[in-house]
Amino acid sequence: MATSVCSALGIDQENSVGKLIAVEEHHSSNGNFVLNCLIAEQVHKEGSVCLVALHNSFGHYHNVGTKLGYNLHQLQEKGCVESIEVLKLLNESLNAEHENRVGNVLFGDEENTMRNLFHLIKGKTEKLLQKRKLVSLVIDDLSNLLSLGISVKEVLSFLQYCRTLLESQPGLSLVVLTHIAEGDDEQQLLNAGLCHVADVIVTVCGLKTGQSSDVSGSMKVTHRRLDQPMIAHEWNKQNLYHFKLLDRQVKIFAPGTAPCLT
Amino acid sequence: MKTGLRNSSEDHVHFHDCFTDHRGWIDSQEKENIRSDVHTKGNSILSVLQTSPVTSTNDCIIIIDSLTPLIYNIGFTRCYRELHSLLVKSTNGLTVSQVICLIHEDTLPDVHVALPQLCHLATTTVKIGSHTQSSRGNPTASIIHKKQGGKILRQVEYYSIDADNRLKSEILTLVTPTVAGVNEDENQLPEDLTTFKLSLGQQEKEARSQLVLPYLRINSEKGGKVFYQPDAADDWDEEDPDDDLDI
Repeated sequence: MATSVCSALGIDQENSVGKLIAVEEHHSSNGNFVLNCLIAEQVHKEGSVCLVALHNSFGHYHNVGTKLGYNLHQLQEKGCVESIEVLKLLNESLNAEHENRVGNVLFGDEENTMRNLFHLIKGKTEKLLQKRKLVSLVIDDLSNLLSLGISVKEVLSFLQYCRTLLESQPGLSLVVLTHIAEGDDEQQLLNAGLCHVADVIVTVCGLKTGQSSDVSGSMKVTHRRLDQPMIAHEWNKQNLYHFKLLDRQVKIFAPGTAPCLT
Repeated sequence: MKTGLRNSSEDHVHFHDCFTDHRGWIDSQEKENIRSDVHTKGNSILSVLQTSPVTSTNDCIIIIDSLTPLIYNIGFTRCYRELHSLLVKSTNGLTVSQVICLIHEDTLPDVHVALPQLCHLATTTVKIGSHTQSSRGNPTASIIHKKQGGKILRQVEYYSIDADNRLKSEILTLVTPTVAGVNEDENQLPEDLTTFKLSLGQQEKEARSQLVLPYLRINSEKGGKVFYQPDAADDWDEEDPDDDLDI
């Protein structure tokens, strides 16, 4: 079910350890399915996942996971999946600030907020790496940090620190999702900063001409090979796909070849 | 990046790691120093150079792999001033002969203000663009170099990187699309438009040149004159209608 997405991304053919996969979600589309498929792939490979959930609660990912074939709650109990639910942290921090007690993680100085979050992530990934060799750090989604009032500079610093984890913790791979809306300069800057350092860029956007019942949107995959020379056969590789989100799976096909049309 | 540079002897190339722990977050946690103000770990270029192990005082070239994080961390004004001071004076006994910086235009905040200023400071600007029609699928680089005497050299090249990570570039020549046009005599009508005879024979051309048009009068006198031919129904009166006026 998730394999078609992963083969389109080219993840099953190459090793994603030490790499950063950036998912760019344009307005009026939902790129969440890419993250869920990547988590499915990781679970399939018997690796662990550290999920930083800013956009949805952990329950949401569990529900989607059961439809794709994995049970996140069970995996969490086993210790293969760790999660940082920022929405819950938000609640705790707000209460802590209101009652002036310790535990305010998110509403302090901007830099401290990012630092605290980073240290939380670092702790969890270290814990996971002790058990399994492959760990995937999934952040959904980075542009929600801008909504907390944190400046682009701090979020980019946070991203840079997460990238340092790729070097210091072998076996780690990073998946980051950002949302872009036209007219929002901060999101554009953040997204540009992310795409310049990513190894694989997946751009998910809606169809230009409107909504369709047969196609949910289009997905473009770009590989940036900074350390290897251009491979000749890659010139002809198709990288624009259309996808359709169904109840239990995601169908990926080349543009113009939707199942109802052929 | 280190793996990409081959045949680089360790003496000549120094790598300064400004990437890991650029704000002291990791260090400070280990020292349990979270409460107090964290001192940003000497982010400026000057402080990095001051702490660098200098083996020789020859002219050195500084390569900065991306200017954006620096601009974000210390502000554009300070960054500009430091770049300028690097070129003008020597730091820690080091004389800098050249500074090479890479800028990703779309990641700069306030790019319409910052970029022209940086281009003004630079003697050579290389702008990388995507492929055009004439570049045979290769990306292009437009180079502007300001010479000491005030002359400006402008050139556009296209480049490619081969399997050994070597750069090959050639000057871009604009390819103008050549139109294979036929010079047509505009006076001639196309004869195969219809089955009617549209062209004129010799006699017909003579008759046309001799034809006098009925209402055309050639004005041989100077000044204007109105030619009026009264019809049968016209009442032509030679008298002056203003005669009875006492002026």
